[in-house]
Amino acid sequence: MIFLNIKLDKTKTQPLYEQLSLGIEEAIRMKAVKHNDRLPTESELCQLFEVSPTVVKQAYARLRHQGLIDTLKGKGTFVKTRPFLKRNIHEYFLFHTDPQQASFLHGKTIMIEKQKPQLSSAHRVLNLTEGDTTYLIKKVLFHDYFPIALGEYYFPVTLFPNLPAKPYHNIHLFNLIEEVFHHRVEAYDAAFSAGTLREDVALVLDTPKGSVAHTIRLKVLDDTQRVLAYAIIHVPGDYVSYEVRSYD
Amino acid sequence: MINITPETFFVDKRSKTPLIDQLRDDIIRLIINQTLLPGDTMPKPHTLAAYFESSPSDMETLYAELHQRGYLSQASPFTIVYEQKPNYLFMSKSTIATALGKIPSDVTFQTLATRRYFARPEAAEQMRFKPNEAVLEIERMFCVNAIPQFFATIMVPLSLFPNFEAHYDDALAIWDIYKEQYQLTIDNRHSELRVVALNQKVADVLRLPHHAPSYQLLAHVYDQSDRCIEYYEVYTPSHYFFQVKTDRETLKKLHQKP
Repeated sequence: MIFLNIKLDKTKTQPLYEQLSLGIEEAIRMKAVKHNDRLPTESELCQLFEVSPTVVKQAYARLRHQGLIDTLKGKGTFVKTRPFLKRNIHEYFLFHTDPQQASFLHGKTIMIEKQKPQLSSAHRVLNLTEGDTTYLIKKVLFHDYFPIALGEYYFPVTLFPNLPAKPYHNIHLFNLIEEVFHHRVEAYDAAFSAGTLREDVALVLDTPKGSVAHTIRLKVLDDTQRVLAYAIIHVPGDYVSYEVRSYD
Repeated sequence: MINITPETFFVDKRSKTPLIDQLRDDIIRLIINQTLLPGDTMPKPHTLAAYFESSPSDMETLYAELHQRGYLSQASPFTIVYEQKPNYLFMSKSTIATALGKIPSDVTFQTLATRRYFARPEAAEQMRFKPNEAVLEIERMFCVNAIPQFFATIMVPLSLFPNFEAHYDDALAIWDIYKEQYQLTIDNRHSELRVVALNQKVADVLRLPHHAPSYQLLAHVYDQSDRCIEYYEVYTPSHYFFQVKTDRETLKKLHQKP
């Protein structure tokens, strides 16, 4: 039992719920319990510490307010200690990152396929007509083994012939387009909007279905403002934020 | 401009979530995603009902709701009218009006409440305040044609701005008050962009459904002598997107081989 170290002293003036919540907080901070671990139910804790249900309820309410735990109806109470990441906006455009580099970020390809887009935003942005095909590459960006972004990259076959045979694995998006396919990249144009996660994306990113997310729509433009490639990057909002600085 | 077919939408019939709810979520997601663009025509309610084996009257209710939320036109042909706009957060009133093609009087700020308060702990921490520093908290709304767009809570320390209320005016941007009344210049703004599900209070103010996704911008503003003069939280719902353009030079730096 993880909470055996917690001692409640009923003779102290400090309220019991405070003692209990501080004890659990300590256990979380000391990493005795990890992210997504299930905590005992309220009645289990009542029995364990011989306190009234109100005390446990108050203790959990306090921890919930601090953002250390989360209660899902019908499932239980879980520890939430995934670190809140504050990153530079540009880092999410990274298609590939070397694990050796100082940052913890690294990318992993989970899928590549050739597809005929039916009706999708990619289809419309890339200005494709019926019958045109694109390569779709899905890449997950990990931070410290936690998935933090899923990118769906669309490359039209006419501009990127034979893509899967090329070395796209260990190369940045920018270098792939410039050096392997010899298209000149002039700018990235990204639109950040708030949205909710699709079910399959939520599954990959290990977050609850329907939770909030940053949706980044990235266009890679050449000097004639033609869209060379298009990507939709999903970043869960529960634990990722961006830093913006502006100077007058 | 295309005619959307019922096959575009996906629902899971084995799911416990009602079909109509799933369909509503999927339609809204595709619109926010810009898979469906303004001007596209939705199938007629009875076509959709026949395809999903649901009742036409349910579909009509759904369409009416989507119209009310500002996604669809009211009557047949049901076209999508929802449009995402760039975020005007850091622009002045007149610039926003020009960008939207409106006259300046269409774009208004509206103060919902002002109160003197002790700084909330999280705000105090961000502003490097003493824990019970007195602040003036202003709840403000930005409207276009009287339709609420952004909601902001602004906190200014009363020690720096005694008598702030006397100078406060809805017509002015708060930043102008600093400049004109207190001779302070803003040096830089430091902000954090998060995405959250709206809480009941903000959702009600913005006339959006509870839990709608929204950007939350937490920002502090520093003056020339590096004092924090303002802390604010702004909620900008998914009608708005932030645009980030990265030019060739920055990209080269970002993707340099080690």
